[in-house]
Order: sequence, then C-alpha cells, then structure tokens
Amino acid sequence: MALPLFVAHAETGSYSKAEAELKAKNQNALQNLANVREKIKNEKIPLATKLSSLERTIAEKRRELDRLQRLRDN
Amino acid sequence: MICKFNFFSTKITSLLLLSTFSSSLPAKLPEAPSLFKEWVTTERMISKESSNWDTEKEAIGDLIELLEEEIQNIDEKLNTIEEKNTEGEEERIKLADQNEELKEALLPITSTLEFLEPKILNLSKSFPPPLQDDLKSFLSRIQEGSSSKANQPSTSQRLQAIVGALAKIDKFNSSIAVDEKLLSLDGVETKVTVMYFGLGIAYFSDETGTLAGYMLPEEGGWTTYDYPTAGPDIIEAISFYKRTAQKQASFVNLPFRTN
Repeated sequence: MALPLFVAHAETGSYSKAEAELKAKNQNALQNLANVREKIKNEKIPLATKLSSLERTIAEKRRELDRLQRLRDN
Repeated sequence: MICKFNFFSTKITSLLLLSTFSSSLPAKLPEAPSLFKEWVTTERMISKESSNWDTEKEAIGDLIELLEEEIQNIDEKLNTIEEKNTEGEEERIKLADQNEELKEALLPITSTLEFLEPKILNLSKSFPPPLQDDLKSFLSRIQEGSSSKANQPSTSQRLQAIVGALAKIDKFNSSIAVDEKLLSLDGVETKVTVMYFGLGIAYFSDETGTLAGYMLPEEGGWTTYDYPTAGPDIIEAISFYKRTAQKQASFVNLPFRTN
C-alpha cells in the first residue's frame, strides 16, 4: 500500500514542480517581454529624434540651396 | 482469508490512490495548459517584437545613413555656390570700383559735352540749309543730351553726336557745296543756285545771272548781299564745279568779304 501512494505523491509533486517551473518561466518571459519593450522604447526614441532632426535639417538646407540657386540664376 | 484481505486491501489502496490522484489532479490540470500557452505566446511575442525592432532599427539606420549622405551632398553644393557667390561678390565690387573710376574719368568729358552741346546748338541756327540737313540726326541727339530728361542719352551717345556733328561741320567747312534755294526779291521768289565755300562765303545766282550776289554767315543765319555784276562769273564758277561748262576750267574773279 505504501508504494502506490508514494507514486501518487511523487507524480503530484513533479506536476506541481513542473507547474511552478512553468509559472516561473511564464513570469520570466513576461519580464523579458517588458524588458524587450523597454529596450526598444529606449532605442527607438533617440533614433526617431535623430531621424526627424535630419529630415528637418535636409528640408532647411534644400530651401537654402534653392534660394541660392535662384539668386545665382538671376 | 489473508489472501482475500490482501486483495481487498490492494483494491482499497488502488481506490485510495485513484481517489487521491483524482482529488488532486482536477484542481491543478486546467492551469497548466493555459500557463504553457501563455508562456509560448509571450516567448513568441518577445521573439516577434525583437525581430521586428531589429528590422525596423536597420531600416531607420539605413535611412539615417541616406539622410546624412544627402546632407553631405547638399553641403557640398552649398559650399560650391557660396564660393561662386563670393567670387561673384568680389567681381561685383571690382566692377563697381571700375564703374566709379570710369565715372570720374567721364567727368571732364561730361563737362566738355555740357560746354559744347549748347554751343553747337546755337551755332547750328546759322548753318546753311544743306549742312543743317546733314546734321539733323546729330542735332536732335544733342538736343536730347542737353535736356535734363530722365531718358537722357548716355555720355558715349552724346559724345558720338558731338564728334559726328563736328566731323560733318568740318567736312562741310573744307569743301564746296552747291544747293538751290528760293530768294525773295521785291516780293517775288526766284530760284537761285548757291555755291558754298565752306562756312566762309557763298555765291548765288539765278539762271540769268541778274539776281546774283554773295552770302555771309552771321548770327541768326546767312545774310544775302546783292552783287549783280558778278552774276556771269558766279554762273561760270558754278558750271565749272558742276562740270557743265562748255569750256575748260579757268580762274574766275568773284567778290570776297569776310565778317
């Protein structure tokens, strides 16, 4: 009678352990996801800022170039 | 009996085990698949978002690189234009300086023109008609030049007009010119031929030589002096000049006077 009970207990224990591990993994994955999102956000903001700054610079320089070319042609 | 008991006890144990298992499993089992599913979903999201961001980051990086190259190109063009503009500005300043120098050099010319223009215009009133006809275009330009209108001709145009007029006057003054005009005598207009010896003196005569004399330039025009006795000689001189004389050219005595 002792052996089947032990088996049952052992199976229940490993299941719980597995479940706990799964929970931990899930928690870990969620944390990782949050970290990845934070990392993306941290990387994205300066890149987007740089991009829009470059676009602005180009627009200004093109305007200046057009103005000087018109002046030269006149 | 023991066997029976054992069998019974085994059965009970199995039932107990089942009951234990069945009592513990149903409570735990539904959570595991959902946890697993959630974990897999989260891992997939991590992978997908990381991968998407890597792609996006690369694209942004490429775009930044392109924009930086574009800025570099525009800067080069701007520098080229600015250099040219600087050269153009220098050239403009140089030309402005030259312009000033030329204006200064023109000052004596301008003052000479201002002196000569009214003089020539005044003198032109006493020029004989053939010379006045020749000078018409120059005189009108001189007239415009001496006016203070906004569309006054340039200094070079004024100078050309003066030089041209002086050349014409000089040419006329050093040559003989023949013209025809109507002279009024006792209220009757008679056609006479006039032969100008430059701007010094002119002789006139009608076809018959009865209305003849000489003309002298005076203020306000040429004054006519009758000298009928010189009529035949004047006609002869005119015919020599026109090469219509029937005899060989010879010296002719003509009256002479100066102012």
